[in-house]
Amino acid sequence: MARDATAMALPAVRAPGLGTRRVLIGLALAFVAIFLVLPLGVIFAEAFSLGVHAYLAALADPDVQSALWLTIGIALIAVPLNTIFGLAASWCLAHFRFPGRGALIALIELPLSISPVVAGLLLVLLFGRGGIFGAFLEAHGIRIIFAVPGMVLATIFVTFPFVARQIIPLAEAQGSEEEEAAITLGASGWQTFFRVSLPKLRWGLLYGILLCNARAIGEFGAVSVVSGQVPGQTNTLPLEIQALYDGYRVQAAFAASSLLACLAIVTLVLKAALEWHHRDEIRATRRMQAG
Amino acid sequence: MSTRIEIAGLSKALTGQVVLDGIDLTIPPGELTALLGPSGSGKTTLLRMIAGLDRPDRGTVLFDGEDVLTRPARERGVGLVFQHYALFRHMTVARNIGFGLAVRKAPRARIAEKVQALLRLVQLEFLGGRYPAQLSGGQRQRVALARALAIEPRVLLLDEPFGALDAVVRRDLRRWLRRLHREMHITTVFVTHDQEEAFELADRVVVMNGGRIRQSGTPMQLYREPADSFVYRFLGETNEIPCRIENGLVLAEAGFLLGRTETRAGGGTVYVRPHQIAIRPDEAGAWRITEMVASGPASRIGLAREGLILEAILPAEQALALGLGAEMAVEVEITAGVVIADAATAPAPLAPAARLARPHLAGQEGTG
Repeated sequence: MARDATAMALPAVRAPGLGTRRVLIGLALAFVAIFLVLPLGVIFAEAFSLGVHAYLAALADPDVQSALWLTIGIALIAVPLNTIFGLAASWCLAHFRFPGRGALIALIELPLSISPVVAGLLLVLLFGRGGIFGAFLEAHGIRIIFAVPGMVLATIFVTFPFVARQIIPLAEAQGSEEEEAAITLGASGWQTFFRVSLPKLRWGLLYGILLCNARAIGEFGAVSVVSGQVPGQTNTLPLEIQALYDGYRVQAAFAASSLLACLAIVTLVLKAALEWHHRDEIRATRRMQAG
Repeated sequence: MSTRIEIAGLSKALTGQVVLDGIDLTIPPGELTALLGPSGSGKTTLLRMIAGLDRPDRGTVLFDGEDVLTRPARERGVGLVFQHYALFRHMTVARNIGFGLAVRKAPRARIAEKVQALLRLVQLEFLGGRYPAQLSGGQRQRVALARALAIEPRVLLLDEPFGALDAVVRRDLRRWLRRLHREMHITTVFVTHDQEEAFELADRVVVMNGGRIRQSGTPMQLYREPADSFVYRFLGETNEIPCRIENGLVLAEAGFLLGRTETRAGGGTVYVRPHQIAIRPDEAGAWRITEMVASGPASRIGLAREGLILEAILPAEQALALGLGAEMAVEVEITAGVVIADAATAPAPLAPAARLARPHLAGQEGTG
């Protein structure tokens, strides 16, 4: 059989046999079933264990309602702020070389390597009663720790790297040529940003925002340190779930958990829908990056 | 409608390194000009300054007498084709081409019409709906060109336009661009490091090195009368022979005659192109063929005499007809070339040694 030179040069990759394939696929499916599908199923099973009425009653509980809206509210503040920061950081890191650039990249990653509990304590040390800014804040009647502002700050801190980390490598790899082309074609700074820079980063940005959002909604450690855990006031959903569970209200805890699970599922469905809608473009763009 | 570009005293230093050093250049309207030079010669920086993407430290750039340095790139009306095309990867070909009109808020119908006309011009009529990643290199290049032309630029700039293409596509595109330029007659500047490309395409070639213009002129002028050794070397393969000049006779270091020149006396260097060397089989010849490589239509022949080594190129048929082969004794005549005396920088033509020099050659060198 004739083989050309390139085929010869590549290491021979043999397609795995049917048996091997079945075993591998089976293993992967079993893994997914045990670690992902089963727990998700358990959440809903437990949530509905006392029937639909009990489930709806648990959700209608004012404390759970308040926790749900607080969680969404915090995410609505933290995620856009981190998105704007991530875009600004990726822009300046991709287009400019300046002293301290490496340090900035390292700093952005810092929250990932700090335990969330420590992050929460940092905020207490800064803004708490005995903290550095404590006296000043108290004198002006501003409450940050054991109140919503502290929880927002904690969430921002913990979710800080997610958007930036997704798009910085992307922006660096794509360089500034397209932006320069846009400018010579007559685009203004904002036109360049919205028509070229943002769209070419948009898939990375979307993943970053999804990750950031998931973490913002699910954050427990840092928020629990600064929240004070007043039910109906400073409890987010994860904190409320913990409180319910500790109070032996297992079914209610799982009902509240199902809300978090639903939030996660909705975001995943949205992402899939977006990708489906733009499938041609994604496919084309991926090929360009590979080639 | 064509624009005249006048550049004067353009200089730029980056972190102490001189990038451009007092560039003076006038590009007549409608002319196709090549900026030719090795990498780091400043040619791309010069192009980017004309476009407005880089700022000079000093100097002026005028379009038809109007200072454009004070204008940002987006207002200069310059069509720039990037080396790697810089197509918007998330837009279709049609939207890429229409971008310049869309940001000017042109009506949709007009954009569509213009895009269609440009797609026809660059012969990609049916590919308007594709994404750049789905095109070949040559097609992307033409999309980039159409996108630049869409804004009806005063000046068209191309950075290494054929650099990323393979040889056949490159040749076709070059001819096509030449034709396009003849039809549109837009003032065009392109950057290249390939002298063949510059010569084939450009009305005028500007040779740059070390941030300065070494010479500018028609391809013929540059080839015939290179301003200095750099230009000579850069415009093609060359043999460099250290020499001394006595009474207008140019002698190799070993003492044998190479040719005649106007310069009277002193040391210098002879520059000879491989095809400016004639070879004649001669058993009593002083030269020896050291090697012969037949590469397609031409034969490369290594020649040696008394420590001097030259490379000659002959049409393969001629080498065959003469029966040339390695280790053969031959007589060699330098038919043309230039001499640059140490005391001067400007080259003087080298005339063949033949006839007039024959008796002298025999007399001075004895048996040879």
